[in-house]
Amino acid sequence: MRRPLLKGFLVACATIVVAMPVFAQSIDLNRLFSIGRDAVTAVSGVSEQEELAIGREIAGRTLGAAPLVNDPGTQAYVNRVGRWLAAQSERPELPWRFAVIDTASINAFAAPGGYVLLTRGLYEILDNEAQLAGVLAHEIAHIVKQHHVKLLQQSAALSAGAQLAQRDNRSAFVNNLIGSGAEVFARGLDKSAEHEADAMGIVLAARAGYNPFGLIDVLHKLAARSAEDGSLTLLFKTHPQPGERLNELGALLRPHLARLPPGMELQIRRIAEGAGPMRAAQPPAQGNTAQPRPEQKPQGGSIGIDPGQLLRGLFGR
Amino acid sequence: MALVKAVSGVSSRIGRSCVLYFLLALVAAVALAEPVRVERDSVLRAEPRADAAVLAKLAAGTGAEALVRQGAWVQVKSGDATGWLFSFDVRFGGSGQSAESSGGGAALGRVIGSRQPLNVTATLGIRGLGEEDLKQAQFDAGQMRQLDGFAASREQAEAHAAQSGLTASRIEYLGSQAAGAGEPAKQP
Repeated sequence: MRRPLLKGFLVACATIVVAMPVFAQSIDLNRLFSIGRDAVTAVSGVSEQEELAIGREIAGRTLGAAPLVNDPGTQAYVNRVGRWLAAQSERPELPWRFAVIDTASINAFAAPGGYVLLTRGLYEILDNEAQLAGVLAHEIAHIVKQHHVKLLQQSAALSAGAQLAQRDNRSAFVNNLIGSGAEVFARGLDKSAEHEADAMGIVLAARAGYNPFGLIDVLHKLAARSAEDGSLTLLFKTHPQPGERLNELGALLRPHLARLPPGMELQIRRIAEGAGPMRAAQPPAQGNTAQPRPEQKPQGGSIGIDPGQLLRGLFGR
Repeated sequence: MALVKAVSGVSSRIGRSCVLYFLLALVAAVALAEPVRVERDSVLRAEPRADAAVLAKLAAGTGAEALVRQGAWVQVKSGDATGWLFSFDVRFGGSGQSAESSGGGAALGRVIGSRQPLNVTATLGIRGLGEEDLKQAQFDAGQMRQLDGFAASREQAEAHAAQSGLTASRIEYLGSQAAGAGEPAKQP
C-alpha cells in the first residue's frame, strides 16, 4: 500500500517541478503584453496602462448613466482645483480628469487612473473651495493608493490564467476584469480604505494650501442629513456612516492639529443658472455631430458589469 | 477688534491672535445658535486650542448651541458656559450619528455658512444615480471627449492656485498614511 502512494507522490512532485517553470514563463509572456510597467506595477501587479484602460471604461460608463453638467466654466474650474491637489500627491502626472455629473444624488466617485466624478447634488451643498478640495482630495487618495485596483486583484479575473486567456484582446481583458471584480468585493477592506482616503485627503488639501477641514465640514453635513434622504441612498449603502468617519478622523487628527496650517477656504464657483446635462449635440471635440453612441458595449460573455461597485470614493465604495 | 472678539467669542487674547481671529471671522459664519449634541464626554475650552484652559466638562448627549466653526473647532454655548469643542466631538442637528432629525442639515448649513440651506424634504424620494443606473450604463464616447476637453494642465492648475493665493507646502501624511503610492491599505 505504501509503495503506490509514494510513487504517486513522487509523480505529483515531478509534475509540479515541471509545471512551475512553464507557469513562470507564461507569466513573463503575459507581462510582455503590457508595455510601460513601472514601480507602481511592481506593487499592484497591474500596469499603469491597464489601470488607465480600466478607469476610462468605468468613467465612460458612468457618464453614460449621468452626463456632464453643461457648464464648461465650472468643469474647467473643477479640473484646475483637482489638478492642483493631484500635483501634491505621489502620482502627479496621471492624466487626471475631474467632472461634475448631472444627478441630484450626493456622491463622488474615483475610477482608476485619475478619473474623479462629483455629482451635482454634492457640488451644490459645498460652501467653499476648501470643501470641494476636501472631497476631490479624498478621491485622489483612492486613486493614488490604488484601492480599486487592489480590490480588483482579489478577483479571480486577475489570476494569471485569466490574464493569459485574455491577453490578445485588451477590451475583453478590461471587461472581464470589471465584470468579475464587481462580484468579489470584500467589504472589510473598504472601510479601512475609506478611512485612509479621508486621512490622506485632509493632508493633500493642506499641502495644496486649503483649510484642511473642508472634508470634515462635508462629513458633518452628511452626518446631519437624514438617513432617509433619497439623494444619499447609494452613499449610505456603500460607505461607513459619516459619524463613524468623523470619529475615526477625530482620533487620528487630534494629536496632529498643531502641524496642520489653517489654510484658505476661498469662494467656490457656482454652477451656471439653468445649466442642464451636457449632450453631444453641442459641438463635440472631434466634429462628430452624431448622438452619443456607446463605443464599447459590454462583451457578450461579460455579465453584471457594474461601475457602481468599482467606483471608489468619498461616497463611492 | 471688539467686533471680532464678539463674533469669535474670544474674550481675552489680543494682538497676534486677534489678527488670526479676524481673518477666520471673515470666512466663518456669524453666530446663529444652531443645535448640536455632544457626541462623547468632552472638555469645553476657552479657546480653539487643545491646550487652552478648561471651562467645563460636557457629558455625551448634552445639548448645546453651535455658534462658530473654526478649523477643527466649534464654539458652543451650553448652559451658562461658552467655549470651544473639538468639532469631531459634536454632531450637528442634535441628532448624532444616526441623523434621524431631518432638520439637521438646515441647521448645520447655517452654522457652516451654507448659501443654500439643505432642504431635506425637497430631496426625499429623489431618484438619482443608483446602482441599477450604473449597472445598465454603457460607455459614452461623446461624453468622454467632452471630459477630455476640460482637462487642466499642471500649468493651468498652478496658475489657478497662484491667482487664489494658494501655496503648496510639505506636510507628511498622518500616522500610517505616511506610506507612498501603492503601499497596501492600512488602518489609519
